[in-house]
Amino acid sequence: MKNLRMESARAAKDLSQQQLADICEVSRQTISAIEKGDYNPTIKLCIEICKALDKTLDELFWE
Amino acid sequence: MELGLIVFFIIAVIVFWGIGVVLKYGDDSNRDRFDEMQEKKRADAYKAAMTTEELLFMLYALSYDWFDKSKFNDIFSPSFVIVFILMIGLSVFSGMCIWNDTCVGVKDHEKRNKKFLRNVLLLAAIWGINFGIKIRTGTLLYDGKISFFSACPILMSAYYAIQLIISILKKISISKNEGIE
Repeated sequence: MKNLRMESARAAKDLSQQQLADICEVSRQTISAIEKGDYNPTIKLCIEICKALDKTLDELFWE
Repeated sequence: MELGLIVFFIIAVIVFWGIGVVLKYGDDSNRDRFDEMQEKKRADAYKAAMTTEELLFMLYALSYDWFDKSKFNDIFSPSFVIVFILMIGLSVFSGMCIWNDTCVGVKDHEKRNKKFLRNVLLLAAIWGINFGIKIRTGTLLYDGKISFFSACPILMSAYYAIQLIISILKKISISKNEGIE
C-alpha cells in the first residue's frame, strides 16, 4: 500500500526524494520503495524520516 | 612450469592488490556503507543464489547416472557442472543486486553506478571478443567436443552478458519510473 502521507509531507517540505535520502543517510531508492509501499522500514529509519519531515510516527506511519 | 609461474605471479598480484585495497580503505567505514533496505535485498539475493546452487547440485547428483550415460556426458562432467552451477549462483546474486540497486553503497551512489555499468560493459566486451576469436579460429571445440577450458570463456561471456542485460533493463525501468518518482 502506498504511503501517500509521507509523499505529501515530503512535498510540503519541498524536498525531493534524493534530498530526503541524503538527510536520512539512505539511498533514493529506499525512500522511493517506502513511498510506494514496497519496503517496510525499521523503526530507526521511520524516526529519521519523521525528524526530517517534522512529523510524528503516528502522522506518517500509523494506519 | 612457465605457465605455472605466470599463474603464480597473477595470483600473487591479485592477492597483493587485495591487501592494498584493504589497507587503503579498510578503516573507512563509510566508503561502501549500505542502507538497511540494500542490506536486506543483498541478503535476499545471497539466499536466492545459495538455494539455486543447492537445488541444482541436488538435481545433478540425483540425475548423475542419466548424464553419465547420455550423449551430453562430456559437457555435464562433474568438473564442468561445478563451475557451471557456481556461475549460475553468481549470476543470480549479481543479477538481483543490480536489479535491486544494491551493487554500490549509499555514498556517491549515482556516480559509482555509472562506473559499475562501464566496468560491466568493458568486461562483457572483453569476454565477448574472446568468445568470438575462439569461434573464428575454431578453437572452441577440441576433437569435435566442447572442452572444459573452452567452456570457461563461454561461461564468463554469458555471466557478463547477463549482468549487462539486467543493467540495461534496470536503466529502462528507472527511466520509465522517473516521472512517477
